[in-house]
Amino acid sequence: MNLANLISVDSILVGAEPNDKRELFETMVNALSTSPAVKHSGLDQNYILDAVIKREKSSNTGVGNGYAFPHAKFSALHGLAVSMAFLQKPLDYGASDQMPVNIVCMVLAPEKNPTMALKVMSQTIRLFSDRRIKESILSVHDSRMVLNLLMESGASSDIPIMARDIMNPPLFDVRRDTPLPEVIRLMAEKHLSAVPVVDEHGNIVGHITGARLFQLGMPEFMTRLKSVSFICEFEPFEKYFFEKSHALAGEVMTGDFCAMSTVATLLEIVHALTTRNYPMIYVVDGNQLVGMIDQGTVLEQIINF
Amino acid sequence: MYYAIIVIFILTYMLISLTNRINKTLMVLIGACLVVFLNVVPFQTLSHQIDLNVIFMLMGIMIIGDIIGQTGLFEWISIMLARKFKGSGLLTVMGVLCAVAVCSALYSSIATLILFVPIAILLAQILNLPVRPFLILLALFANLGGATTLIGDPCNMIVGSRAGVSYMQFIIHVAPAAAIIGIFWLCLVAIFRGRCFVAGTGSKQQIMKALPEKAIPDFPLLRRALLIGLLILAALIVSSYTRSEPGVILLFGAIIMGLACRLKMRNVLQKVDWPSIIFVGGLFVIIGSLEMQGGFDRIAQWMQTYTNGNLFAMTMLTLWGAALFSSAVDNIPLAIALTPLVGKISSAFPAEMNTNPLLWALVLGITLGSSISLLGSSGNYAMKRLAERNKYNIGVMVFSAYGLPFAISGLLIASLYLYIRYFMK
Repeated sequence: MNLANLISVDSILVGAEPNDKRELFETMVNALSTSPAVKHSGLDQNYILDAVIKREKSSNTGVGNGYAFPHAKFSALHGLAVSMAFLQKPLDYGASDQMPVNIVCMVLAPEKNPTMALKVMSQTIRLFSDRRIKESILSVHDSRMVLNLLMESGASSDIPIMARDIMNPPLFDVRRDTPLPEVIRLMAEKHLSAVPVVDEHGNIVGHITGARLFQLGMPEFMTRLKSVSFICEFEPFEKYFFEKSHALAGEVMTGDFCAMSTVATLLEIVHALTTRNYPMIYVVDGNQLVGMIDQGTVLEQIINF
Repeated sequence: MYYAIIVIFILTYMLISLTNRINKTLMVLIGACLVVFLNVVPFQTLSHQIDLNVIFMLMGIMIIGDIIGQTGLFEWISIMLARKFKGSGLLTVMGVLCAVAVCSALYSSIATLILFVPIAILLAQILNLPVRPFLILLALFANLGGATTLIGDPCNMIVGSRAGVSYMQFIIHVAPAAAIIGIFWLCLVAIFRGRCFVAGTGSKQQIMKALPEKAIPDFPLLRRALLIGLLILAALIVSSYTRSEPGVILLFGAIIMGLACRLKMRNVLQKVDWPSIIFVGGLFVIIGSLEMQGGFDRIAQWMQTYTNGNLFAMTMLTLWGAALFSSAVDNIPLAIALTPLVGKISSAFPAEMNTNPLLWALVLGITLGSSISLLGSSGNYAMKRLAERNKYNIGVMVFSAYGLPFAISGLLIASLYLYIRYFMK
């Protein structure tokens, strides 16, 4: 289904200048009140607004690069209701990359089929990743013209969700010569189960997992004992931790990482995370790292959408 | 066909002995397949070459060993001994060596060694003892203990099954020699290595704080496993009277143990190291084919001629010859190759002569010879790999420097034992 068929002229807001997120949401929910799906559902505007705000509070919907996708699910809704806002002045949204947001796509989805909303989100990101289309749409100040441009772009919401739609951009740079304590600090701060190690060109060359770090701190023979509860004190552990604290990322990293292209499907991603037990999927363009997906990402963006 | 099987035999044994880079099971499988493809022996006779009794014993021991290993029993034994000896380095080491020997006798020496190495490293680190000598001695005593019973070592299974020797016969004839050698080796440890196994005062205090009972994560599992283990042992002891094959007893007992310990059958069977089973099966095909082609007849004749038909001389030649070969070749393929040879030699003697000393000489020779070098036994190699993973590299020369004096002394004692027991009038 063409993305343009999911949006009406009234639900496209061009040149909006909200002061904060709440004002933005109020405006977009108001724009959606005329959509057929919302009308048929009989849902109250305030109810919808509260649901969107509640969802936003549970997890920020700013996905980075200036996009945000506030959304909510309703049992009374039987179809999608989509609104787009192109902000005159970018809004501080609290997104993961700290960048202000200027393209907002609000999606109200049926509770039984939330992936429809995810596909809209995915397709919107793909659409606006084409710089030409993005500049055309952002330069237009009329809602109808925006709708026409969307129609012409042929963007469809039926394309499978891909890695590039749900990946988190890499926000740090771990090289071979990065000291291990720094890597550990990074993993602890950002609650990461694995970090990629890249070369000077941004190509992934290895990764360091939490399990690997534990192995370094734990002597190998300890992993073979059925229980260690009988040891009350064992100072030699400190020796192992001390030795490894001087190591560099390149000395500790392993090559058993999973790299997938940006067009890898959600099924491939979930298969790699579960059946093949990779802690992290590294999304690469060629060999260059462009994103990361772990189980938390899938939980947050798919299962808990 | 005779020369074809000779070439296959030599090539296979060279490849599995000289390099660890090629998968040994694959080599043996290729050799066995060549035997079949070249029709060295009729395909229908192949099933008779593979000693199912040995295969079942190996399968049973692998399953039992894994279940027992999960109970934490060995950790408990080691910590108990260390506390019993109040953290004394030498006594703890000697106690653990005795424990390893006894456990190896009761079931697989290789599995015992693999399970004892981690706890030995832990004890050595807590008590500040040198790790490498401790691990090498563990391997030596595991090999020795494993020689004591039919099921203690795969070589014994092979020899015993071929010769129709029962569990009790093994104990009656080999255990005394192993015990004497073991006591002598402990004296060697105390006299020549006693100074390096000295624990610090602080270390002793640390070991006294350890809680051995916490080494057992699941007491009911341990109880069930030990109960079934005792029943299996009892069945083995009376197997000569009940005319039960030890392989059947072990495999059946292992399955019962698995069920009693509430393991699913799939999990029970997963504990079998199938590449090792295929390895042994393939060797049986190659050696059996060589035997059928008369490959051992000439060697047996030569040995008869060389020793002038003297049984004692033949026994000594078997003992020291097996030890020499065992220092260079893994003991399992060696046992599979030498057992039919000893059988041929035995058959050359008058029927009324008791030629069993040849068997005991073979068992003791292979066992003691495997103490000379890392190559001599799969257990030695497994210990080396575990040690390397924990940054304790044990080179071939280092192992031999420790093992050779023990092996030579053991062979001398074994020679004396065999003479006194079977030849002195």
